[in-house]
Amino acid sequence: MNYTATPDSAGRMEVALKGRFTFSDYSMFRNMLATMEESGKKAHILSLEGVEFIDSAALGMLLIAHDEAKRLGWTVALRRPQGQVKRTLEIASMHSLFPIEA
Amino acid sequence: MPARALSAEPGRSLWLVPTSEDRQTLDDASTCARLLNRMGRVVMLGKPMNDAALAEAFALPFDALVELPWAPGHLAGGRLDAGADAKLVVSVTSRTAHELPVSALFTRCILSRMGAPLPNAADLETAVHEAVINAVIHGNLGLDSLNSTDVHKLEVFIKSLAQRLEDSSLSMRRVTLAAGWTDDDVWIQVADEGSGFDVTAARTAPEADGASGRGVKIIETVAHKLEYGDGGRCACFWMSRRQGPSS
Repeated sequence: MNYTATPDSAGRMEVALKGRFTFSDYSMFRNMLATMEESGKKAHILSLEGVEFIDSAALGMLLIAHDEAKRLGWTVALRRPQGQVKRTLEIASMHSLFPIEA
Repeated sequence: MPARALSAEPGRSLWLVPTSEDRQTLDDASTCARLLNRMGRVVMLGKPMNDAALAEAFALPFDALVELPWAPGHLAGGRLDAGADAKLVVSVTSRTAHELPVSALFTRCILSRMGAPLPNAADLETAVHEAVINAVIHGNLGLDSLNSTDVHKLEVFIKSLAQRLEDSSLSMRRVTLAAGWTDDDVWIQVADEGSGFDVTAARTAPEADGASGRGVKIIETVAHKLEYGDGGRCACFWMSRRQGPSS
């Protein structure tokens, strides 16, 4: 998986993820968290539109992002999960932790 | 680089991907093919192992696909011979299963061989992938679950994972996937060479609240039945070909 981080028009940091988000991506995810932290933004969007597959390890990484955001006083929302990604987020009840934008 | 056909006779084929002129590799491939006598069409995966080589190998009409090096007894429980009704067997090292999209290619291969569409095709890949994660991370590499959402614990976990992938005594342990199907269902078996685990304790454990531990729940949600054998080293699940997603 790879990602790009750009501020959106509302002043939030939008991190667009692309590819397969899996247990091979722990190091990349750690870098992504550092990018979010270095941006100085308090509101972050993780755009999942370009993610074609997600696994339980990636769900765990999203939970780490959630708890890190809570610790630092950020907000994090997920945007436009599709297909298998949407279904896996539902199975794991991630909607109870994250706002999910359509 | 094109696949190399090492031999071909009626009902029996052996390919080596990528092509190699290395004598040892050719000898290993031929020896392994003889040992895999039951499987008529065999692909041996040599080096370098990468996305292109793996995709090329999966495009061949194989019954068994085995990454080299492979030796008798180096396969979990001799499982390549065990599943007499297996229609497809793939055996790769943990390193390859970690770095390359093995579960995606394996799933696409099953779907293509079965012919008729599966109502819950995306769920099949989800379940295969979760079983492979467990086999690699907790089975072969022997890593405990990441029972925390603390970033520092994540860093420790990343370091341990990298160290274990560098340790060839662990990363060369194999993950062996087998599949079979009837008109009613498809079954998948994923076996590792780790120490196993206490299946009963794992199934009665409280719901995970750390960063790991959701894989089995996901498999149980999308599959119709999940069983473990060989002391937790072998997961087998079934999915219906007639019903839609189970939830």
